[in-house]
Amino acid sequence: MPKILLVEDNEMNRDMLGRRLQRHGYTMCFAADGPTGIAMAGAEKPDLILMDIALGEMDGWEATRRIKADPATSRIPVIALTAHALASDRDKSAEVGCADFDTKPVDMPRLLGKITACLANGQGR
Amino acid sequence: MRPRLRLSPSMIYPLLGWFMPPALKAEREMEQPARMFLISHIFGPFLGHTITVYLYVLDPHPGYQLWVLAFSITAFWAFPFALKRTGAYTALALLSVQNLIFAVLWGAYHYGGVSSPFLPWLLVVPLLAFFYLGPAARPRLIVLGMIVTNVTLFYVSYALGHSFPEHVPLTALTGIGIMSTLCAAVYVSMMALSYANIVANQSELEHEVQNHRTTAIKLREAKEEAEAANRAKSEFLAKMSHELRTPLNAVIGYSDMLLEDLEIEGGEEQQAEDLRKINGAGKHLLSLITDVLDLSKIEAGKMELFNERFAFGSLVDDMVAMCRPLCARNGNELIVERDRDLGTAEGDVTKLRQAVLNLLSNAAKFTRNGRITLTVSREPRAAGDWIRIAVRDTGIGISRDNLRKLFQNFNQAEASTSTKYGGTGLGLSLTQKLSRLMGGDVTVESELGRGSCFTIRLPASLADTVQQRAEVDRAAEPVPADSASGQNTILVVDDDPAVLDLMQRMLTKEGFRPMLADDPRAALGLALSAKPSVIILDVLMPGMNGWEILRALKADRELEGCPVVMLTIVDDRRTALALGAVEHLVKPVDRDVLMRVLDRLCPRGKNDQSATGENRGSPKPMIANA
Repeated sequence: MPKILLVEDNEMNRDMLGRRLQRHGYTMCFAADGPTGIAMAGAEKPDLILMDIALGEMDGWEATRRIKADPATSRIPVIALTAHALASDRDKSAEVGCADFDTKPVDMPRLLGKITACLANGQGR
Repeated sequence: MRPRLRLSPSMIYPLLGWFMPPALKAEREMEQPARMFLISHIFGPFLGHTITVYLYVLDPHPGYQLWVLAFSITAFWAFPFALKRTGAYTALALLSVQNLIFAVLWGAYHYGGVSSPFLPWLLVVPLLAFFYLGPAARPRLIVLGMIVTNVTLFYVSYALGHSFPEHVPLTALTGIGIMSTLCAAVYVSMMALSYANIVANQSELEHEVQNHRTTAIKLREAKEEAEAANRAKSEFLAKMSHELRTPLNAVIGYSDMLLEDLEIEGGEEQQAEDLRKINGAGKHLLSLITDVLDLSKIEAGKMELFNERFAFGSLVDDMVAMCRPLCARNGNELIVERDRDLGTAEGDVTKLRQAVLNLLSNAAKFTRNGRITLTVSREPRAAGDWIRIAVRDTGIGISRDNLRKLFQNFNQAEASTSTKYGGTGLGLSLTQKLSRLMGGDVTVESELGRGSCFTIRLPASLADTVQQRAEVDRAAEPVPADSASGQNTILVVDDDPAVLDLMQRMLTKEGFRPMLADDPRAALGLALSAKPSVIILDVLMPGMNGWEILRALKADRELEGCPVVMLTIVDDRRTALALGAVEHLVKPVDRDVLMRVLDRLCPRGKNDQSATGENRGSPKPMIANA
């Protein structure tokens, strides 16, 4: 089953989104901050990363940039989760190398669609 | 006594104003001396004539000497009129000074000689000249010259006659001597007072100017503070909304999860109903918070539009489908009147939908067992089509007074409305702001108790350049649905009109059908509607760069198979190929290289395969020596 790493600092959101994704058959692993997320990406080799942008000290952009800079993890598709659907966020997510981006609170069917598309693309590469 | 003296100069201002020629009034620097001039010429002769009257009484045979003196003093009264008539201030002032010197010396010559009580008046002359003509060197020299000349003449007359004529014995002049000296003193005092008054006025004026300056600075500071406060408010709202959304996220998410559980496992219906209420309330709250955030974004000037080309008709279908249950809730019937073919429009679909849904949900909220009519049409105008979306209801209506404040934030027609119908009163304000942001506006007609009609009018396309219109025309060309659509069609996206022109000529000549777009944001919609064989993309474009379009094209299920050629001024072949472009060419484009590439991707005269078959999925990069 595809494995998804969820990087999210809010415990409730992490628990909720994690369980909902598990219900859809994904294997989940979690990180509560940027540095842990980067480490987990290397250790767990997930098939996809869901990256919250508003993380503590290191934000999601920076974490994604580092994941993309490491050859070991650069091929893992990252979907950024931001609070606002701003064009600047969209630009930024493309700039740091995110495969896609979505807004919070998540619309489950939409997010699932994006996850499926990213995983399919990732496999195609 | 003192207050009267102080007041007198200002009391005679209207009189002075009457004499003052307009040219002098306009010159601020000259106005004050001219005022002194007028004051002394209006009041001075009264003082002077006390002396002539005295002499007349004193002189047993008042002769020509007295009449000349009286005439000379009376002549001063003519000066204000002369000034009003001619405006020749400096000349008149000098003439007046000359007349005064003459009068003083004439009086002294005939009444008392060098011991004459009139001679002190000679001291007044330079003082007056200063008052009239200011401190400039030239008039002072002229006045000095005049005094010297006159005194010389005085002496010459004396020398020729060997003595002064004695019309009245010198001893008889003691009284007039005292009086004359007094008069001179009074006269000088009067002028000095008047001068002091003017100086005081001036410093008052300066004080006033200083006050204004201080006020202006304070105003600017207050304005800056207000702006900063407003920015802070917007930032606060944005931050608050974010903070509120996070826990709400959990409320909606967990209730969603529990609902899913219940659906799978089959629980109590009452429980599911309660959960749906929690979920619904959460989503409602979320939409309110989003409204607040949107309003604050618009007010802070941070709202952005994502313009894209969209099928107007299907947007309307969408909105109707979303609103039907809402309308049915209050027993309302939703009627849709629309043109059969609404065509395509260009704009921010999400925001347009939001603006219209606000109107529809308002109509549904304020109407019970009535009718809600959605009328959608295109209005052709000279500068391009407009779209018109009207929402008419048979609800409670709005009074004339309330119509005026209808679009203000947090304003519902009646304070009691929110308790009865709910809502925050943000919807209409947001609809208006969004409509304006999209280049249109919303209008309202309403009758209390009969219903309301809100109408949004927007330009159908935000693009209005010539190329864009040409490209829209091309896009509107009927494409036969059964044949291979977009056969030989090459979509060129470039913001440079020169490149578009060149490409159009080059491609037409070679038997391709060029389709041009100078707005990158329109590219995706065009590609979707026209299904071109090949897309040629510029990289550096305002608004959205070529890489973004490429990424979007590759993410679209229908378009991912369409081969994309990147056309750039910088060699960035690796990025292009990595992002899924089949080819990368460097500007200025070499015709032969371009044709080789296009021939391979889209064989002319043959059936186009690229959009349907072999190239889909993994386009093979072609090595070109561009």
